[in-house]
Amino acid sequence: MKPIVVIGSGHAGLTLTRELRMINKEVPIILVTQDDGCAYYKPNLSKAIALGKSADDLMMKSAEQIKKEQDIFIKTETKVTSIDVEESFITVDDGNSVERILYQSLVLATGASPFELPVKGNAKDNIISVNTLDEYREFRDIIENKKRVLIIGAGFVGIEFASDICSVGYHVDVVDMEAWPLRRSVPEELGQAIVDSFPKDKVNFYFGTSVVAVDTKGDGYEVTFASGEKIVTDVVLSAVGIRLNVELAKDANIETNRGIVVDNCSRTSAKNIYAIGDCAEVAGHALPFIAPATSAAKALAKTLLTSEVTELRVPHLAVAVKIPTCATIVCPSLSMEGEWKVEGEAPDFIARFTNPTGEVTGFALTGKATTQKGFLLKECVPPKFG
Amino acid sequence: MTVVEYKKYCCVTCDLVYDEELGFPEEGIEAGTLFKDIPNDWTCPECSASKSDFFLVE
Repeated sequence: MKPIVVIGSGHAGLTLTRELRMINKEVPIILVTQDDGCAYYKPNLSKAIALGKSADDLMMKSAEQIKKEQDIFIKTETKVTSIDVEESFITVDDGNSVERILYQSLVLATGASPFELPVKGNAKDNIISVNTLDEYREFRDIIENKKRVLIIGAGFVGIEFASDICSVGYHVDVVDMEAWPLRRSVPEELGQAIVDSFPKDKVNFYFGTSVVAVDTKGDGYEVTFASGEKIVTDVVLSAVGIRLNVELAKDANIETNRGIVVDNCSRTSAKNIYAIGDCAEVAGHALPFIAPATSAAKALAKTLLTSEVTELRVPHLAVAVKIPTCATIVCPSLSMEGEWKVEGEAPDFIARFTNPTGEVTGFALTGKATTQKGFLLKECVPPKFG
Repeated sequence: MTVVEYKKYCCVTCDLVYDEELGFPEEGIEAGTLFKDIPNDWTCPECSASKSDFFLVE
């Protein structure tokens, strides 16, 4: 029997292999990953410094444990170089040898990579990002004995890192092109409440500008903003967002857009090839965060191993942004059409995103209002795809 | 008198632990609520995994 082959050992890939094995004990499963194949919860990477957690502390299971538990074959530190959609095989390279792996079904769970900033300066290559457990390990080493960290980007990851590392004594500078943090998920009043909750002596925010150059200066760096302002820091961390890993699919002439284009059963344009998690795009929407990947993996496991083709169901999801000084929960609207309606007083706000017909399609909560999460979820109309 | 022996359950996705003794008061689940008594449609407050994705911590 030809195996089910899964590419990528992030949350989507590992959840899929687990679910497949729960449904069927016999089917051969091969997981190919360019990483070491261990399991960890990625959202923890931006909140683990304050907890004093090392990369090893954050590792939930090693590849060896997963192999044993799930009875699957895992090829670690291995790159998939191409997909042959006609003959149904992939070509992999582990640095020593190149081989072909035939598949009955192929699942792309290739995730996303940090977006690279168009920045100048002699130290632009020293800008770091923390998107994997290995990068977290390095980050922890790099900031040890340092005092100042500059973070580019005040989205989910940037603002959580700012919160995490300022709480253990670092001086943090945060730069974002937008006018307030979490610009795409919260209205201005809530963004301001978040900013005001940070200790003023430890964190400086620079909104409405961007980094244009990073140069070495002494043991650290001089960072130049588009506004002309210059800041000296010890470490530059980029958290400007991600680009979806679509190259492998694109090279195989599988339809891609921002992500790998799939229908609501995770099927790509190529026969027996599927995509789930951060790399996938459903009806024009990338579906980031953990929960949609979980749903997609569970539905796909059923589609692949039972006669039941299972559609992806993505309910509204309330995501907690870990800012201990200002509790924040966001439930981003899929559609950007509409406006915010805010009630409450700083820092306790309820903000509803309402579409032109007056339906609530998303919300954001700060402070004490976060206890209203359950009620707000019930107010939201179900997301529409397409 | 019977002494209730509280157990702990761990989320397979994010490692969050549900401790029956403590409950999740902020999620509306009172301290002392046994895992089996939590509604089946309850989801992990951290990662939205389903109740069935929790395993007993031995």
